[in-house]
Amino acid sequence: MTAPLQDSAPPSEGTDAQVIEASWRHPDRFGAVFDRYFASIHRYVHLRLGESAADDLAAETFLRAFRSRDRFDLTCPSARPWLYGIASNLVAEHRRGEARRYRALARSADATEIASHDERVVQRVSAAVMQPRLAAGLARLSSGDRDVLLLVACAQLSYEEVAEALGIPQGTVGSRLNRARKKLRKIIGSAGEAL
Amino acid sequence: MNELEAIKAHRDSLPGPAPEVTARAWVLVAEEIEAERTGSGHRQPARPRRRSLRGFPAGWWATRAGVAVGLAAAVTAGLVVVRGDHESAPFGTPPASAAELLRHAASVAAREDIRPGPGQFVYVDQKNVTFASGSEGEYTQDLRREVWMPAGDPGRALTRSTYGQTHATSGRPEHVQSPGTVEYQRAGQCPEHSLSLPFQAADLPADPDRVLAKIRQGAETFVRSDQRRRGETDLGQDEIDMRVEKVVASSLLGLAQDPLTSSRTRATVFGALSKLPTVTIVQDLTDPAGRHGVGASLKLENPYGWERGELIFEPATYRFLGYRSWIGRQEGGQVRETPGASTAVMTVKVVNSMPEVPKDAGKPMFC
Repeated sequence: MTAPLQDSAPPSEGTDAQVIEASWRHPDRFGAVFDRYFASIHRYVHLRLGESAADDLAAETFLRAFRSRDRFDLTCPSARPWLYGIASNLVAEHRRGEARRYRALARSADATEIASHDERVVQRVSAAVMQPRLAAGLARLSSGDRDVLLLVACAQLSYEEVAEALGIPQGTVGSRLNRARKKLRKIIGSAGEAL
Repeated sequence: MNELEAIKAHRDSLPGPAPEVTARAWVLVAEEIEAERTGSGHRQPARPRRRSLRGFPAGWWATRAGVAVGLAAAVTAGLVVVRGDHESAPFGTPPASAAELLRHAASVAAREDIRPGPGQFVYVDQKNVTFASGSEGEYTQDLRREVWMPAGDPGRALTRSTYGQTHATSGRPEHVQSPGTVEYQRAGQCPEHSLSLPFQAADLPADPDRVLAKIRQGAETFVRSDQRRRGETDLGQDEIDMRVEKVVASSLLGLAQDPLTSSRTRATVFGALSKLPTVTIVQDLTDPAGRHGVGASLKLENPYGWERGELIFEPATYRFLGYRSWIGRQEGGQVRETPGASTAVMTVKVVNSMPEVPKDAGKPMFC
């Protein structure tokens, strides 16, 4: 007798669309979507609202996704735009908190500015510390522009996927991204070279 | 670096979610899945909660295959209280029944995916208490059992057993390994204690109902042949049914607590156990490692008394912690129940090597 340690054909195989379709009849299968994207969604929300909020909102993203999975468009093989769209909607409910966070990150730069060069270098390479001017720039973007910019830069979604995630035309994605980048460069100014 | 690259770099520098955060999120989703499956509808949306996990002491949690474990320190009567700045919110609801507990446990086990790659091994570390009964009396002995199971090659499996203290409950056991003794056992070395899954695990379906049907079919065959061997010709259908159910329960318990059972198979077995009406819930059990948990209990009657098996789960995450059993007897009109064998699963992980068996290693005593 053999002792197989793993069952064959684990249910997590298949495209996101296939998994979600299977989860209509077998809700357990949705676990594969959770496994694939929970960490990414958590990081995305972490960047926008901080870690504590990410703990809650990433979980809420997957609860909402599970509840609305019957509306998932099965012609889209990837669930990423859909999930980032849900997460972005949740972030939008905390818009003021997001702006406050960026402003606080920008202010935290003051200490860095007066620190020694060595300390600044350490600060620059340390994990999880956003460049102050970048934070200040993000704080001054409109929420719509910021959504597009962060879905492209942080989630690495294509224009088409961003349009799908936010429910806006692709042309609008392009114009918002251009506007956001111009504004950000202007705010960052020459310091942008140091980014 | 342009602004898009800077944002991406910052995003990549952020830490991923802590294991306990992932586990808690999954429990919320799993509850929703369960609610849908049982037709009890949607839960209320998860309320945003403020909490400070970093406030817990170091070592408060440990990681097993990417799933958070060890929330026992914060558990009171099956309810975890997560402390925030200004509020305390209950995390999870104590299961109302053994069936609910086992369904939660099945959902969680299904997510614990241990997959050794080529050349790797699944390593299981258990803290066991073995039970022996014989002419020398009854005793239990502490035992650490480690198992290395090579990917796709159970024929090369190895166990290392390190014996601990003996505790006699009656008589004076003489043929026991002294504390500190280390034994190695290779797969195939001990025919009566093979390093393989119970036969019921072979080709087990993924669906709990089908598992139950398959195990029951095997149990019926066994009971009928056992009946013939015993020469019992006048057994009523009720007695036969009762024996079948006992074999079913015993088989499922055996599969659930076997260290070689994969998480996915264990999930299916938990699902099958949840359908047995005789399983009861027991609050606040303790496994051999001293961890508190909530249990699903099954009592198996026999002509001399009974054996009670208890599967123990971590109350917050429903992770399988271990198993313990009790031997019950009617003696002189008195009910006597003594602890039987028990197991605490301490670690399950993928490792890259297994130890060499020392050249002078002897044959295991119980081989």
